[in-house]
Amino acid sequence: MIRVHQITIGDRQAETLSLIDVLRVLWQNYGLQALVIYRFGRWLNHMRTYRYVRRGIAVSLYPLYSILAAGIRKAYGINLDQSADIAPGLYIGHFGGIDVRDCRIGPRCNIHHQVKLGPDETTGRGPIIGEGVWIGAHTRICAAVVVEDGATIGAGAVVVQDIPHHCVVLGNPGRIAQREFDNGAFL
Amino acid sequence: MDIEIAHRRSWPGRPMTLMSCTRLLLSSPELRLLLIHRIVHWLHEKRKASNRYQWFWLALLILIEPTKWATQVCAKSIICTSCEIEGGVYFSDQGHIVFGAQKTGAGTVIGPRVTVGINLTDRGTPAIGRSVWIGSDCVIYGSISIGDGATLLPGTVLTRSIPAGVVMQGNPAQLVLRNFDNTELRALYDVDAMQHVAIKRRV
Repeated sequence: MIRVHQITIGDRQAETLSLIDVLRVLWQNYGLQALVIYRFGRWLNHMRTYRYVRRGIAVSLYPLYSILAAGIRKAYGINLDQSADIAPGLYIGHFGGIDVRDCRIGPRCNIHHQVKLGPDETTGRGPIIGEGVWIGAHTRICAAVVVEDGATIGAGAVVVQDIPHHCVVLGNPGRIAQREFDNGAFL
Repeated sequence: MDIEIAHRRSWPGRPMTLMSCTRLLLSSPELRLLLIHRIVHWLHEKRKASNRYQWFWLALLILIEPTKWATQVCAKSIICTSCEIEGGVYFSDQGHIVFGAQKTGAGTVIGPRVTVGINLTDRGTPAIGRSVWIGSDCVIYGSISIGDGATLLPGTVLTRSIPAGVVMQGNPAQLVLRNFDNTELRALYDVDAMQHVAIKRRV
């Protein structure tokens, strides 16, 4: 569900993870903490659709979630809103200024600091991001665009158009700098 | 050192006393972060250099880890352990700085929301010269070198090496001016950099 394997350091990338490893990664990785709390909130929202006991659990745990989420927002500046739909395997590089709202993110994506993924102000629809997309620091995707699988969005880019798969986007406004680029080494 | 330049920027023309230095250190999270970074960096170097007492330095590093975490969260910025910073560097107090340069010279001023160095597999990290002025929202990455006295206006994305004393702007970065003297820019606290450079350009 959450990608812990790849974050464990270099040569110690074993198939099996001990509890100590998981705890150490959780301690070091700020993005992972935010993601865990986001998943907790999503789980609570899911539980609220049921009736009686499960709904009761969800409603009683909801204040805890809002306190934790507010803490993460304040301390790290990572805002993973409940309106975003995040697939498994998101990796958040550093903390600070991350704002993810009203968008869909595919599996195995990388997000770095100061990234804004939000809805278009006029239409109110957010971006859709495919599988294995690498999004560099200071990127801004605030439009109803589709970023297809395996795209690489360079640091500081502002994406305003649809991006085909395996492309590199650079600059403001974002233009396609290279096609058929394999970003497997970054992810 | 760092506290000197911060002092000059906050209260120009006021003599440095123990009281004012303490007040500055208490009020500025970035100064504390820099202090902790210097301690951690020094411990790391010591640990690398010694072969018999590695465990001792490691124990000290583990001891300082919670303090480091607290200052990072307080300042909302990260400085990599491996980067070498000379004395007299000013980091903006507004935070959101991710800093991983190889080397940074004295007298450099770094604005808020600046990213230096991106951790990719094959690329190195930049080396920043002396008395460079880096504006807010800048991104600098790749194994490049920035010459002494260069100026990066706000919002620049820089991926190439630049010589000394130039002004760069834009995404991707373009040359605006050569032989620019940024002493005034570095000394002032609240200044519209764009306006400042535009005036110099006209003269």
